[in-house]
Amino acid sequence: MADRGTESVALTPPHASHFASRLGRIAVAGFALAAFSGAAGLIVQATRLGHSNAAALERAERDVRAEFEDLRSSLAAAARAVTGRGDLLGRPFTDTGAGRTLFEIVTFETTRSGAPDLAITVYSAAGTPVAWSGRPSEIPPDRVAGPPSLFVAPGPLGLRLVHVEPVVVRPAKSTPERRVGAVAAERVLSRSRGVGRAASEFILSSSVAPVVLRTRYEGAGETNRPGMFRIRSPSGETLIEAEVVPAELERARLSARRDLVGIVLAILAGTITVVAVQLLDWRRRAARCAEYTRATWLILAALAVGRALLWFATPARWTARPLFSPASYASSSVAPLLRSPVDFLLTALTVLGVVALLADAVRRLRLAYRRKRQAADGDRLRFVLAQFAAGTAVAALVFGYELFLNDTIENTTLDVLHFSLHPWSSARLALMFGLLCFHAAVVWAGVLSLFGALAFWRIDRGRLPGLVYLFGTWSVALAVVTVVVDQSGWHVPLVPVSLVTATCMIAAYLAPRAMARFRHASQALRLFSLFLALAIPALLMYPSVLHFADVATRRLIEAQYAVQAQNHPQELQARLSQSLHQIDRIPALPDLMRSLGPPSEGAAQTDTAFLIWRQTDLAEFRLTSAIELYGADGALVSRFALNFPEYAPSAQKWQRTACHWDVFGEAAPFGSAERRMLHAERAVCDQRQTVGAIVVHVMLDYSALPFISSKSPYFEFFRTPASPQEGMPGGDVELVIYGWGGLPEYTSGTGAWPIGEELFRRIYVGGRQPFWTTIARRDVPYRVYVTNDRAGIYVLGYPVIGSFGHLVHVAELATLAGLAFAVLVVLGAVLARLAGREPASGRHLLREVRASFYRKLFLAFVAASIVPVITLAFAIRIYFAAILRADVEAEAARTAAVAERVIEESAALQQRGPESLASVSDDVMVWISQVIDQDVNIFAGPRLLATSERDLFASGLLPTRTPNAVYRAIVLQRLPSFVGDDEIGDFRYMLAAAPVRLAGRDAILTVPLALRQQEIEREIDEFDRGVYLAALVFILLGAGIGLSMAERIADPVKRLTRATRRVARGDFDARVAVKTADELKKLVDAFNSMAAELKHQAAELERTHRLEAWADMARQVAHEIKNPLTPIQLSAEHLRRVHDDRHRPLSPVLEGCVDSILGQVRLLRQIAAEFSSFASSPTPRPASTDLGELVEEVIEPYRAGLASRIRVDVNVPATLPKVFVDRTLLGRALTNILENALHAMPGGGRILVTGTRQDGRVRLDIRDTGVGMDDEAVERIFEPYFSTKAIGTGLGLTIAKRNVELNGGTIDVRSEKGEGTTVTITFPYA
Amino acid sequence: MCCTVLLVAIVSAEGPLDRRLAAIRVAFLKNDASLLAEQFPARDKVYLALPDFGVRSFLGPGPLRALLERLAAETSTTAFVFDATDQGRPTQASDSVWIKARWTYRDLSTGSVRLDELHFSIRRNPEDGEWRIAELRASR
Repeated sequence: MADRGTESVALTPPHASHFASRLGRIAVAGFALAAFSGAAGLIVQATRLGHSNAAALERAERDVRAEFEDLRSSLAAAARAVTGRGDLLGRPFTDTGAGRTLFEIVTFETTRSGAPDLAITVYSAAGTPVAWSGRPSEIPPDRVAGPPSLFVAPGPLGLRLVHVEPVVVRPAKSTPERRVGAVAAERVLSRSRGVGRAASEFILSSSVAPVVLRTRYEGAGETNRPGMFRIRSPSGETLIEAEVVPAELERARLSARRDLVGIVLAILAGTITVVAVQLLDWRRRAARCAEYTRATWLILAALAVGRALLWFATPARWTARPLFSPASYASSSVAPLLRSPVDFLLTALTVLGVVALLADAVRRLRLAYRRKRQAADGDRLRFVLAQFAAGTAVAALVFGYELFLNDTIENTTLDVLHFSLHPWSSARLALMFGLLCFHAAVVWAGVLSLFGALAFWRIDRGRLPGLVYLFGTWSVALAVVTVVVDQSGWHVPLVPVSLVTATCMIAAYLAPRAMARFRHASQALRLFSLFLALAIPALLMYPSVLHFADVATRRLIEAQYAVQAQNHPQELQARLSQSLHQIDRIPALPDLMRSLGPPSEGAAQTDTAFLIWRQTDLAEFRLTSAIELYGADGALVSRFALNFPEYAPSAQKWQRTACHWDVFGEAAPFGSAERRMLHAERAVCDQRQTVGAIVVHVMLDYSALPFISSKSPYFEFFRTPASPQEGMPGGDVELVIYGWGGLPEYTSGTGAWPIGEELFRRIYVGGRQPFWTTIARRDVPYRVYVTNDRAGIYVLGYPVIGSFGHLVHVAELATLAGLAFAVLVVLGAVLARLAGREPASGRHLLREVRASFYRKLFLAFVAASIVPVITLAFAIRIYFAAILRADVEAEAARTAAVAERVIEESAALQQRGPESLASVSDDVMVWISQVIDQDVNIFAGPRLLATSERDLFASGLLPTRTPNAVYRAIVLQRLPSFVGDDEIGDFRYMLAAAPVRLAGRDAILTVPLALRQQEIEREIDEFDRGVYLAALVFILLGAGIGLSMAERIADPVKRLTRATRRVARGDFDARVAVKTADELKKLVDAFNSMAAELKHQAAELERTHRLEAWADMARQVAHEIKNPLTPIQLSAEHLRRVHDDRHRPLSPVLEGCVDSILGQVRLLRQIAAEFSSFASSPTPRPASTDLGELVEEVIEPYRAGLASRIRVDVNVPATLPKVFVDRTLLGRALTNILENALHAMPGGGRILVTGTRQDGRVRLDIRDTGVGMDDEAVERIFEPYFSTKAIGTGLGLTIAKRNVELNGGTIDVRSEKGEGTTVTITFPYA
Repeated sequence: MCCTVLLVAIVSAEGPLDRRLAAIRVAFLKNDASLLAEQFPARDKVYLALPDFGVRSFLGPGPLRALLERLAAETSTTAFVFDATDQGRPTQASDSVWIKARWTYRDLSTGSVRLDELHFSIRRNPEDGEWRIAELRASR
């Protein structure tokens, strides 16, 4: 089983004990950490919550009192800091200089305090706010005019602690103190948001448990219960009643216990995971199959236990956070395991871990069967059956996963097509990372299945029948499963499934080669391959995700949105019925009606109508509605409307009706058009006497549908706590309702789709049958769902993602995969470190980079492309964001200006004249808000005068104080317009303001632009995504160029390195070829020249060594020959002399012998002399020599003897420059050359000696017409003892060459067989 | 005994809508998440706005089931009454009704008793004629 050939090492007993001890250490450390955490948690819990409820209550009380004291002292300090500048209050309010200074002071104090919720108001002696900061509440006049006080008041943003400090000045020492105003500083004690919250209940967080706060007006100080305590002001007045409910304490204890258990379980799960990593080591070293299998099972068990522990570790109360919330995601098919995004991620990681574990097992299985594989051609039936089974399993796996994907997308409110990291959403990222892991796990499980099925079979590569059988069988299996799935009615996209399955098949077939390459790959390549293993499945699954997201959106539109839109009129009717019933149940309605006086200044008040409206479903569902209350005389006395302007209030007169509701539909003017409306009215009767009447209007306004985004920033603010999660399917759906005339009556977005003739005919002819189609609007295609009823045509659509959008998605998906991969690598490294192993990847990678010029170059190129591209991208992004913002600011200013003109024009149209401030009522504001499609508020001085959102202001949910920045800009700085940011709590939005002239005095018009701001943010986000894609493309381009450049630069360097190594080994034939013509070419040329030179020098060196060896030998031979020659010669001569002396001449035979001996002795002596000459190392004694003379000297002795046979011509001009040579040595060289020439011409011939100048040298050519030599002989001509003659030592030319070169000359021989030989000698000038 | 009475209530209800309303009431009174889940469409998303449970969204069957289980685990219904006036019922045959119920329950973690108004939008499935909850909003 084990791969003995590669990495397997048997776990010998010492290893086993070491391994066991390490496992033990990890387990002990983990359990110790868990125990320590548990103990520490218990101690913290005991410290925080106390040992008993009484102790906990005491601590909670201490916390609350301390917080109150902190708040009180900070408020007192802030108020006193401002009262110090009381002198400014003595000046008139119109003194803008003083006002500005006061504003600066309060702003400075607010900023200095560091409390973002601090609000300071400076009141004049008349109780008018003259300067303020933050969002202060309205304080009762008696508090402003009264003594220093500290009190608690419910404010727009929650319960507020208010400190009021009178401002007293003494103009002169002699004059008495004079009160000139007051300063109120306030901070939020406890935030309360949402219309549905009980107004009397405020919750304050403490370190123990939530504390319920009640103001004294809500019954504080009246009862005493356990856990209740009172906070008093310094004057002893009860400020507030606080209560810690015992059940809350129990809940806090339970939560703390669950948190603690969660932490301990998480630590244990971590420990088990580290143990699993350690077990991996064991498995890697396992030598036997059983051991390997056991280790694998243990790791699987550890993974399962770890996952289960983490499942139990999540405390239920964490479900409020999106990451742990089932509302974000909970599977309907595998509900218990996948109940939140974090569950999804952890399960995905576990599954991926299991697949990775099996991958190694399958690889080893294949290796184990390496020698036992059967030929696929041998038993074709079994082969086909096995592959069919594997193919079916993989196809089923992929189809199953597609269904799981569908289940995931249908059961999440997170946008699975939002791959960008911005805006950061931990829940979405957890789901995305989980999906990436699942994609990879499924694809690689498929590859492993096919790969495993191939492990037992041998397919000859390149043999077509085998491949056809293999892929054919797999494809048939896929087709069979596809048919089964199709028949089952499961809607699975076939193209993506086929793509994924085909990829699995190809990957399984190529896996052996890929694995071999992977084993020998560099660390960088391995990491990149692993990244691709995560990224490619994600890209393969992208079409499926897209398909299911689209299906989910369509289903939502068909099943919910369209039905809600069509049913909206009926729903309104139902809500109205319920509202009427609720009105009927209001106690003492007749008394309320009686209490209403005549309208002041001719305008109806809003409070009473609002009080009634607030208690109905009209408020609950924020329906576009109005409630009008009429007095017994039929005059309108109170009216409240939400987004419902009244166009002719003065003409309104109630006509007497019955005491029960009369409901009917009518058409009312709404801006320039008419809208359908439900009208309900009844008289308010008391003992059969009519005391007034109540009229309710509900307008058909589709903005109230839950899937339509509100245009009101205020409404967005109040909806925030439980708003739909970002990017839920269908989040970008628009609704347009057309009348049967084809004109749009309602548009939720920025425009309506054009309904052409053909489409209208299709709608008309098709009856009530809804259908899907595609319509383009402003060149953007939309998928739209068209349905209709008698009332009109309902079209709901969403934009179709174009090619650019897909490209952006792919880029973001790849980036997300990169991030997920980095997280996995880091996680693996941390686990490995915890398991006591050295994480190899990073270190190896660094080492590789350090050692590789190529990689450094590549990284440098990538860095060089990243830095400017990212800088440029940021610059572009900032530039365009600034342009967008500037555009919006300009638009905001225009909107404010339009609103200003509309107000002034409306006043003129109503012919009320500018005298009456009342002409600017909430009705006018609502009307204007309909015109400009934005909310509008009018502030007069510091307070709200009229608004299109009266309900929110009137209910105390919004502060009625003029925003500080707006007041300063418009009133104090006299700016023509102002565009800035404002905030309600944590919700920031853009606000435009402009001055308006009303009733002869200045007022301020404000337009909150939350919707436009959202649009800008969306546009900026879209732009960011485009910039990101461009940046990524450029970076990839840079990386590609970098790769190519690094290749171009590093490749010659690599070749040079290899060639240098060859040269170092003595292979002087190593040469490098490059195609470039740059410095690298020069370097390579230099290297090649160097190699050639080295080769030449090596040859020279070799020759020199050889010559030295030969010279040494010659010296020894000469010595050994010369020594016996003398006695031989002497003996022969003695023999002849003795016989001559005795006059007995030698016999002819003997004489011949003696002559022969003496002749041979002479010859041997001559040879020895030559050897000796060759062996000697003469020292040249150069002198200026006339080469012509020297040649004549050498040739002259031969002329006489050769005259008949050989002609010798000398043509050495006397003008030839002299040379600096040793005459003797050169003479000897010339003699040897001449001798050789003569020997080459036994039958006669010609010798020509020519002297010429050539390139600053003197050249001497000695040419003969002898027998010549072949090339081989020419090559060896200067070698010692080489001769073409029958006699001779073969040293003549060797000596000649040596002598010439000793004199600084060169010698060369050219010869042609049968033509003769030319010896050329050159010398430099003397 | 209690359950038997409730089941009798369901069986004795007049039409399909009445039976559905009775079943919803039983599901709430029994604190039975499974039974409650059956009152919603099996596959389609539904709109839920339950601020106390941090939900205001269109939920699929999985999140819906999880939410209902949480609701059943954390609360104990003491009373559940549909609006006696039946104001939400359409006067003519329709595929949608809007009905309000008063739901009194004990918060099991704090022990406090609360009263919520639940606004149901109940729709008839055109395929099988079954009435199911399509929308549920809570207010106090």
